[in-house]
Amino acid sequence: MKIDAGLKKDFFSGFIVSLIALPLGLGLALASNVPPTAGLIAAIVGGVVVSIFGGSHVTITGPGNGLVVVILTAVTALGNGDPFTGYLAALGAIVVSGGVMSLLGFLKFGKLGDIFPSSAIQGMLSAIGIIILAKQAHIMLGNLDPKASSNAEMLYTLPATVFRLFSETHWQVPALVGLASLGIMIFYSKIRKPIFQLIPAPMWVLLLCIGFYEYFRIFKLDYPIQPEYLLQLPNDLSQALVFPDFSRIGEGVFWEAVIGITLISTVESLLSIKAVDRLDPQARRSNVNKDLKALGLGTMLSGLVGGLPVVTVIARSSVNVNTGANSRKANFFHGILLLTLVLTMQSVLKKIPMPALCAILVYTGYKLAEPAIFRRMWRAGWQQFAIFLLTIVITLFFGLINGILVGILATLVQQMLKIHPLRLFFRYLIWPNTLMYEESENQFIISVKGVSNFLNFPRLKEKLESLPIESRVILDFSLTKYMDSTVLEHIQQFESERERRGGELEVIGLDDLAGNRGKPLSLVGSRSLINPLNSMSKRQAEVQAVAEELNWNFKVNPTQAVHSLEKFPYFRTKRIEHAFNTLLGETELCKIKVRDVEYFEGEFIAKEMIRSTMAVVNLDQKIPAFTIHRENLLSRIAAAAGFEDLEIPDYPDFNKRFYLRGNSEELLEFFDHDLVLFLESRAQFHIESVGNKILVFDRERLATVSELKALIRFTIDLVPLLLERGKSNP
Amino acid sequence: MFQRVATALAFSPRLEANLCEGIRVAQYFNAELVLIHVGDQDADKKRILDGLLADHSFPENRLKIVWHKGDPVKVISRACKVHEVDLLVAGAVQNENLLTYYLGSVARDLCREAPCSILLLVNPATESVKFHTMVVDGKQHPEDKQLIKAAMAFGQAIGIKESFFVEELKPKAVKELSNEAEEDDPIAMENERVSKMLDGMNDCREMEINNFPIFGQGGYTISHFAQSKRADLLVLHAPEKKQARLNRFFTRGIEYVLTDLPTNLLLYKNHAE
Repeated sequence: MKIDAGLKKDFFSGFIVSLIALPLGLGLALASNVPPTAGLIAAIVGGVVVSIFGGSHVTITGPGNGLVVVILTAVTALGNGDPFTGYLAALGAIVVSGGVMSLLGFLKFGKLGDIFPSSAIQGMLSAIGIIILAKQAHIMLGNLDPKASSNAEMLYTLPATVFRLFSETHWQVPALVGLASLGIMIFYSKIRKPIFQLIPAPMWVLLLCIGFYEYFRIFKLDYPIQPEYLLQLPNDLSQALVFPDFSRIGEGVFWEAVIGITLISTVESLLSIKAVDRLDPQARRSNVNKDLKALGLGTMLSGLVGGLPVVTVIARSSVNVNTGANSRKANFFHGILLLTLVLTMQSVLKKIPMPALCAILVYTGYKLAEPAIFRRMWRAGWQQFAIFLLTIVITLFFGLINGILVGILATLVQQMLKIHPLRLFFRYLIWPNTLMYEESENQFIISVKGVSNFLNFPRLKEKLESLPIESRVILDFSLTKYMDSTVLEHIQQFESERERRGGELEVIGLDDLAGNRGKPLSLVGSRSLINPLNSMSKRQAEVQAVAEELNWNFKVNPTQAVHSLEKFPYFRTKRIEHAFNTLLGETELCKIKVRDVEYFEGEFIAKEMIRSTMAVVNLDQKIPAFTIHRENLLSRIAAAAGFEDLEIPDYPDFNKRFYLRGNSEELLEFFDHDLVLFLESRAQFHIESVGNKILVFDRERLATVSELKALIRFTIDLVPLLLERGKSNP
Repeated sequence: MFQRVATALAFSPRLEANLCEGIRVAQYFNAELVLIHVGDQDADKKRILDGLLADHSFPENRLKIVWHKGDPVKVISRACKVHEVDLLVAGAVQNENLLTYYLGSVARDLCREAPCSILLLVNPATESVKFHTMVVDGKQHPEDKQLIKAAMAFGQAIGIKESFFVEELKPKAVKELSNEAEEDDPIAMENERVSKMLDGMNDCREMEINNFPIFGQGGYTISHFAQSKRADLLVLHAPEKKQARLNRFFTRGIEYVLTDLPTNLLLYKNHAE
């Protein structure tokens, strides 16, 4: 019988992931102050249940980092001093929260995962990282009882533990093992030897620990690690299965635990599912609600037999994707193989020093709160950084739920201060703010108006996701007064996702919102004119790339000198405000300037701001003055121009499609066969000539980068034709 | 199309502009003009009005002036009914931030209470303003045919060059499109319905006609579309009276347009009924 290649890959990935899940499951459970087997149960049950009932494809489920803090709090609060009593009561809370999570899935609450402000979420994750790191670092250094009651205290007693390491000699060997393990975790990614990379870092830690023990056993030496430093596992693994205690269900602390577990499991899972979807080489999209239901079921079953909550985990999932996983079966294999591993290795597992497992967690915690994250948040602007820091501090001192609540509140206050007038903030909380239509075959415009922030993003997301992946999407923010960093971040993710799947998403109308590529979380806020060069939006960066391709000059900053435009009939009834994103180029025949021009039509209360991308060419010689436009674009000013439509004999098609205005005698000669044919064969642009200058543009809106390229190409091709005719027609 | 046009007059700095707009619209349709003034007739006001009417000549035999005291909304509605007015012209008030418009409570109530169609002008002016683009609601409605006919007639009268007949659909429709067989395609069905109605109506070739669905929340999306197309006129069905009050608290349907007026607005009501 032939085994399907996909199945083989899934088996292999599942195996590799189970190697990580073993040490991590043990470690996460230890960190949560519950028996180490609780983590393994969550991974085994989670892997099997979610792979059968879930709605995602290449995710791995099991015990998660975020839950450590909540479970730890719950065990302490419910245990009244006895961790095991607390553990049993916490299992009750886990089962109930699994039910709530399933319910959220049935109520289709999956999309709520998007409405958390990104800075607050980032703050919460970093705080979780700091808490895990602070507690585990003590044990890694041999201090089994750090005598700290709060998370913050764990952090600032850390130096004391480091100093005591020199005096407490019985800490030193375990600490050495811990530090060596940490070293493996840190340097693992730096060593690019394929053989070494075959086994994941946490498994290396485990293997070296086992080797360390075997060394002493074979040479009949005393194992230098005291029994209290070793992993406590029951002799018979069936003893690990314990049943929850629901007796505290009537108490507030119990429900506090339920809320905490549900909130963090849901958020962590939704964030991970979204992130893994972006990694999936087959670009499949998860059914989030189905996954929530399955995760809830997994959590319930895991809790019923003594396991931690089941969540979708990003680190293990990405290993899964990297090792070639193909379907949900990989998650299934990960669960089954983990069970096999545990059963076969149980005797050696008992010899693993805890400091080694803690080192794995210290590293995981560090990754959640590493300096690069702080730098990224700092670049996003001081307000976002402040919200981020505030969330971390509140989480450290007052717990996760308070932390995330304060983070959300701070974001709301910050936005309410920024949005003028304030009633717009409230209006767009309830009001719809998006419009979508098909502008041309398979090209959709989504226009966003007013306020676009984390609270109303689901409405925009719904529209973005409703469009077929192979369609072209233009996201127009010209009518948006305020956009927050959460939306910007989501949009950037959508942009890269669509690109990867062969679709297209272009964003226009953001250039002067001070959004940019270098600062992915940049505070966007209200519109401002001055946009320093070092902060370009994606479109600007792409336009710059176009400029480099053509060897042209590109300037972002707005310029006032737009008098040259005022001569064109089109601008006769308009007031030009300024131009920005200027592309300056030269061909053999002429100088071309392509700019985004911002101008007003009408005045006072009928004033409307328009932004269009326009090309202006300076010619060395004079050609006749004329205007060609697509039907209707220009009839608004037709009366002012004082010319009638001109028909060129023998070209009925041309006459139908184009409106030509100007001095008829001159133009009938000027528009000869070749020029008419050229215009007919190309995309229609609006063209105006005032003798020594011509103006070319497409629509009365900003051009996307590809439209900009088309405009430049057309202009370059048009100029020689005009000049040729100008010579013969002085 | 419209045989009798009315405009309500208040003695404010905008009196002349409002009057001019009324006269202009009446002239477009070669209609009679009814001027409704809420309040007592007094010599001063009469003199001012006569002066203005002399400046902007309108044939006296086709002009009627009504003076009546009372609640403005009731007086105007009743006058429209009594004099069989087809179209009421009213002005909107500017909002504080100059770029959006605001409807006074009288105009807002009139949108619901008036027995006829109503034209709300965001910026009444003494001189004629060029109209270029109009957006028309093409949604399925008992009076959709009449609305489209009225919009075409109105558009042609004021020299509209570019028109969009749009139907608001739920964004889901795009997704369903790929799943459903051709004949069930909601987008194509909508398009066909509207284009059938438009058939034969465009006898004036000056106007470019576009017809496609837009996706988003009903009532709101068309207003957003009108703004993004920088339309000069938006044509909608007049709201029904019954549900009106509640909608002001739970913004819905027409209230989106009235709260954040994107442009001049024509609310069509079939007068014959």
